[in-house]
Amino acid sequence: MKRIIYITIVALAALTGCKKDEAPSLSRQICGEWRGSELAAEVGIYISFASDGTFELYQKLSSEGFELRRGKWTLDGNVLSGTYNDGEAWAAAYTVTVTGDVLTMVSQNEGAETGVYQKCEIPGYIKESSSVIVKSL
Amino acid sequence: MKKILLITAVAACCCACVEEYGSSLGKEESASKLVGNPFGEKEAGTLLVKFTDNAVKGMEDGTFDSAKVLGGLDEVSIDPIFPASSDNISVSHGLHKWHMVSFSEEISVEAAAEMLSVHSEVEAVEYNSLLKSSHTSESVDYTGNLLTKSAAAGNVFNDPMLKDQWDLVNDGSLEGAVAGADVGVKDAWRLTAGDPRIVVAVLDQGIAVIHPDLADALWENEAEMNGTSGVDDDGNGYVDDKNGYNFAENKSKPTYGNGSDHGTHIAGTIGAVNNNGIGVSSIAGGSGVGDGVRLMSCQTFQKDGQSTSSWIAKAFYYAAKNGACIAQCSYGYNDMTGMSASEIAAWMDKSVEYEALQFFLDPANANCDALETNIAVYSAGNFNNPSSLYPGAFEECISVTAFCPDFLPGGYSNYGAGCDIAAPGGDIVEGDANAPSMILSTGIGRDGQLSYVYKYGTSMACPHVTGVVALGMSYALKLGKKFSREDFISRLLTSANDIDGKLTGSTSKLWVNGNKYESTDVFVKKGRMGTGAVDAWKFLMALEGVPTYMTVPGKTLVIEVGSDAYTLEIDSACKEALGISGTPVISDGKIELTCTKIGAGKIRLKSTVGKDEAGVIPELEYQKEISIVSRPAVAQNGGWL
Repeated sequence: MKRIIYITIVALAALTGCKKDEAPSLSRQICGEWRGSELAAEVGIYISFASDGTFELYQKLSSEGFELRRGKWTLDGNVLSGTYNDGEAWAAAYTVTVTGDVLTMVSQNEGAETGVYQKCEIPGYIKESSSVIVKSL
Repeated sequence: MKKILLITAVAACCCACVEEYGSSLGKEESASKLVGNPFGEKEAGTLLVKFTDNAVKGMEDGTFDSAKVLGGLDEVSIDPIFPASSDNISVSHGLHKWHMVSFSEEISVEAAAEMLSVHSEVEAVEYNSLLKSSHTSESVDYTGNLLTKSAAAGNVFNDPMLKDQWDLVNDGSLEGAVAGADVGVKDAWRLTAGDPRIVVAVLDQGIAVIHPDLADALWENEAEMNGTSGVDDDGNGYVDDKNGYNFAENKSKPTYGNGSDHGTHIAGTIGAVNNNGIGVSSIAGGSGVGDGVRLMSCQTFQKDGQSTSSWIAKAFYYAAKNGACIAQCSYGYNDMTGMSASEIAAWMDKSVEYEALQFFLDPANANCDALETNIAVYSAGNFNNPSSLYPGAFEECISVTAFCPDFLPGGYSNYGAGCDIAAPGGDIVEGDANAPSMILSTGIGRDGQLSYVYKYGTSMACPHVTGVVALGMSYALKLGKKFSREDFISRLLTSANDIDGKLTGSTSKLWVNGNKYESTDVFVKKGRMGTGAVDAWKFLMALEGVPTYMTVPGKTLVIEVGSDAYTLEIDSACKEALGISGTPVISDGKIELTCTKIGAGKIRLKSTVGKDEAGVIPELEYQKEISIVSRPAVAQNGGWL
């Protein structure tokens, strides 16, 4: 029985994006659900970073409601970048820090735009009501 | 305040006798005290009189000279219109001054009004106007085939009649119907289906409080529910008012029946219990776990559809005092449009109904934490006239026009001046077979049993907007947001769907008297049905936040606004933040602008609805905010990251 558990743990560690030898601490901290609390505009943004390297971005900018975009994320040191499932890269890579329940993302471009995200559970009604813009591949 | 009963031996006399009873004012000044609709029907033997503070004080301490002021009338009695109205807010609106003066019908109300108005103790005299409900008497019993619960499971809720409620979910399957010509609530139900903290006062005929689809949706006055029968347990001036009050018959229990189920039908559209496996669904009736809005029966109409200004005024006061945050009002004065602008203004300023409405809308009486004031929603009227009926035409109120299952304006619906937004009202039909194009809701069948019936009219359209407003308040509570009345209504009006686009081409189908025929009549209503068709989903989204457009410095941003009728406002702070030079304009329904800096700001689009070419009825101003954020870079697919 102990042997089975050991094998399972090893297998999970090998599959996740939160491996110890790839910036384990920050990667693990990024995994989870976040709500944009201080952004460049008053918009509704929720992001879920999964440990398998995928993300779900719920955003409400238009008057039509929340939209869902999916894709994959990678962390290189403290630089977070990603690609949507339609193949388009994020508009910028971000330098990220996590302090407690706060994720700060600063874009690595000329404007150095800062976004602050608060750890949260994405409300079920947002997940249920969002229209999928970039579908899973 | 004690009731004063004065029986005088002085014979009734007309205005020629006025001088005998100590007039202290000139003719012009006394005439200015007469308020109310001089063209409409008036109740005989009663006047609504606003006395001065001194006179009211005199009534309390016994020094009021009733012989002087009322001496010319026979069999006189005076009763305060509003019970327990000595609190600061009531006094600030002058409600404590209003009294019902009753007298022998042998003297005309016009003569009596003139007689009273000459006294300095009197501030205003109003005819007790008679109102008729904005409805026709027709209703058709529901005879549709009821699906079993399992068969109906494809719908959002398991209410078996939901499949026949095109007004809620119009899939286009009804003959002649257009998919989507509904109130847009199906998606909205995923976000909220109501909140029991939202209390809707239905000013109408009584709600059938024992109806199985309504009984669990009623507002309950806890003190009276747990109190002693025959006792005013909560001291609000009304005995045993468990679910509201019957002002039309001055008793606690509402009255209703076949042909007098107008209020019951309206209540069902707003808040019939959802997902209970029986009957109809409603806009804000919850999801089946006691989470729907609550309905307060404020009976202001008798079974024959008659009402008076005083009953309406009392109902507004009661609703404000007892927790209602929305007043649902499917009625109007038929003859107000015959008044001049100055006469209407006088009515607005002085009438007891208007002052009670203002009391209801006073921020100090706001009964929902999500809104700074209460809201009043009215029907526009069923006379195919180019203006809304009053009181709906007032700027403070939302006036609702009606459209049919094919998205076309109801042939009967008023339109134009004072009209703010459209909602499903159903079509005129003759014969039961065509009834499905009307609105299905709770009612009383021809056999007198509690049942479900079809009706049509702006009376039916009105509760759709009321229901959506109730949903909006429920959602705002859920979001923890609070809105001003102007902002809330602006978001409601600007989230409406365009219906004018349906009126293109040379002719269009109309359903009148159960027959479809080609007509151009409907085109006179183009652009005059309000801002469009109410949409619950879009309204909730508008409450979530203002629409945001992303751009990058140096790139031209095109914002579709749909109309050139807006006035664009960009303040200097916004221009500075975004580096916008010059003043962008709206052309072909679009705004084009270029930001030169990274930053964020908001622009405003202002407009009015309900324009009156004659300039008598005030337009309702509303605005829409759009947020612009200029970022270092933006993904092509519109993603935030």
